[in-house]
Amino acid sequence: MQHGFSESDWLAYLEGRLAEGAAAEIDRHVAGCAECAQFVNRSREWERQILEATRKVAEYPFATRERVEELLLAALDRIDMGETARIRPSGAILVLRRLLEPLLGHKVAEGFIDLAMRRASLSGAAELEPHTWPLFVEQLCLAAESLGGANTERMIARAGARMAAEMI
Amino acid sequence: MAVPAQAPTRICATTGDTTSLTNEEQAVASFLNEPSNATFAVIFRLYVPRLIRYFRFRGCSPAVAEELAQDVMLAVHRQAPTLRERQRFRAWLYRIACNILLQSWRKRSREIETVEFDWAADIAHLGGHPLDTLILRESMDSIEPDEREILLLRWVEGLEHHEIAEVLKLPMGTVQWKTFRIRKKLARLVR
Repeated sequence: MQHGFSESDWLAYLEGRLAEGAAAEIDRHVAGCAECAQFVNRSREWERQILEATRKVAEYPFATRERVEELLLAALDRIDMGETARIRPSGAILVLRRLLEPLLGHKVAEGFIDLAMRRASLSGAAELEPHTWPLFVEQLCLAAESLGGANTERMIARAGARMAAEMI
Repeated sequence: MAVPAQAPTRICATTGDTTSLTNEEQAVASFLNEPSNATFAVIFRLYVPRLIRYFRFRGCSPAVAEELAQDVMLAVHRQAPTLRERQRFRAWLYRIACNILLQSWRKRSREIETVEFDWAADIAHLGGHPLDTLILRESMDSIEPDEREILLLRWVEGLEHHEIAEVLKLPMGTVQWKTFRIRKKLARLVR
């Protein structure tokens, strides 16, 4: 069901973002097309119902005001205790590189890290996300074991796990 | 430690959250311009209930949801100096929440290839009478996991398309296309 209009036009129309002229064109089409009229009416009614349902869900006390205050106190305590020095994946990769380079040489270490990053990055992005860190370490361990042996693999696994605990 | 005094709040007409968008923007701007315990406390009170809801909707128990929400806010506190554009705050916040959720799942399941969001049964009754949230349950059950996440971010968290794109690291065109697909599928639920 597009009837000559693009999906982005239909979406913008339903969301009230379409320019006046284009919206009037769809209005005219909808007025003469029972299928589209039914779709538009149902889609708007669905949105009305879903917003009503989510409004009711938003009213549900997921956390009471008192509980939020308790959590805030705990969070401020954690901040005061210095729980601030966390590590990013880019910093953690540098640490692992420095561990590997003396054992495998600069080029091999860099190659292993690049390969592990490519395999761990689900989206193909150049930067690792914290949630892909364990997969990166796993891949690096496999590579490290193939050339550096079990001790190198264990060293990388331990260092990777320690940094994972500190990573956001 | 003394907790800074609570800022005045009011009910937002569209989301039901206990502040207006303007207040929200002001709170975020104050925190980003001058991160302190006082400004942090304001955004903590504002976002923690929403973050708990975010994690509960993705299958976390109440205790885990509270813990993860607190972790998100601590990450916000730590990383605030790196974010200067306050209009990107909500997308940034939910991106952190998404990362922390994935890390949590990773710890629990040791699997990250397939992200399957749980639709916790107890959520179904949160609106009071089960019929009140029937459409939400039916909608969630009628779409794919990746579409479910867009539905939650769009209609429960109230994010804009560009914010969803940033949270999920998808092109905005993909988010809009999927949003339209969701609407097409779910319009059929209405009789």
